[in-house]
Amino acid sequence: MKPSISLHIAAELKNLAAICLFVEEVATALGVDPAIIPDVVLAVDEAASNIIIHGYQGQGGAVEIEVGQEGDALVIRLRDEAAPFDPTTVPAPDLTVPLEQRAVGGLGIHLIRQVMDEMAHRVTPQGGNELTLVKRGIGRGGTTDTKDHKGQESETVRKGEQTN
Amino acid sequence: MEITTRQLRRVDLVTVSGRVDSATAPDLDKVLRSIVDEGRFRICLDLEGLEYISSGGLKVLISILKACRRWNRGDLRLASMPPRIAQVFDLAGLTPLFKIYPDVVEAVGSF
Repeated sequence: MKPSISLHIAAELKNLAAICLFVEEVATALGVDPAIIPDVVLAVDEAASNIIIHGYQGQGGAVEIEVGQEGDALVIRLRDEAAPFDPTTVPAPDLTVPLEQRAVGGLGIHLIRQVMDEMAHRVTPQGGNELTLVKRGIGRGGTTDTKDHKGQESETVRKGEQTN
Repeated sequence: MEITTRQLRRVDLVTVSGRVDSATAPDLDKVLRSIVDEGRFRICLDLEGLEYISSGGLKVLISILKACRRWNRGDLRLASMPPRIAQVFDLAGLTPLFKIYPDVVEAVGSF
């Protein structure tokens, strides 16, 4: 198993771009098929947006994003300390109804379900949330052991954590 | 994200480029909403420079589309959609909702 790489960052909307860049860089370093990286980045953005907007309700907090490889799968875990909420229970939006009746909520979760192979939630021992997103068949040939992610000022990057 | 607006004779032409996520979507909403609030409901949105969109941006477009089409008073039409953005529209199930044109000339001319 290759080590995973984590990003700790303030749960603020302005950090979404940095979160996306982090996921893109780690996925690239792991040798993930470039064709599926944009989907993975979108899924993490949607999950992180939900944490910031709905989890912390704009009150602030921190989010940890851990990206690692397990076999042929890319595994991303997002941890927060917001009130427990299981997004896997959000029903899929009905995309067949006319525009006027279409609800705009649930679109982010729908996108995550569309692009990822697995989405799982658990309440952490600290009482927060851990959302696990899995994308299978990512391709091989990564060199994560020698790749370092450069943290930005507001971030602390830990390297070499075990994913299990 | 960068937004420019141009008021043509019959259509408002808006270009949006860069990244539209939950952080920047409110600014896009503000610009489009101000056009609608001024009673102009024919909007062409040029997406040529759009690099990224998430559900935050898609929700804005759905909301403005609804506002423009109310009582058949207008429409929000999209032009020059990059392939990746088209993929996201497909994933979200939004492609059938919008009128999408290959370029701005066609989109503006369609009104």
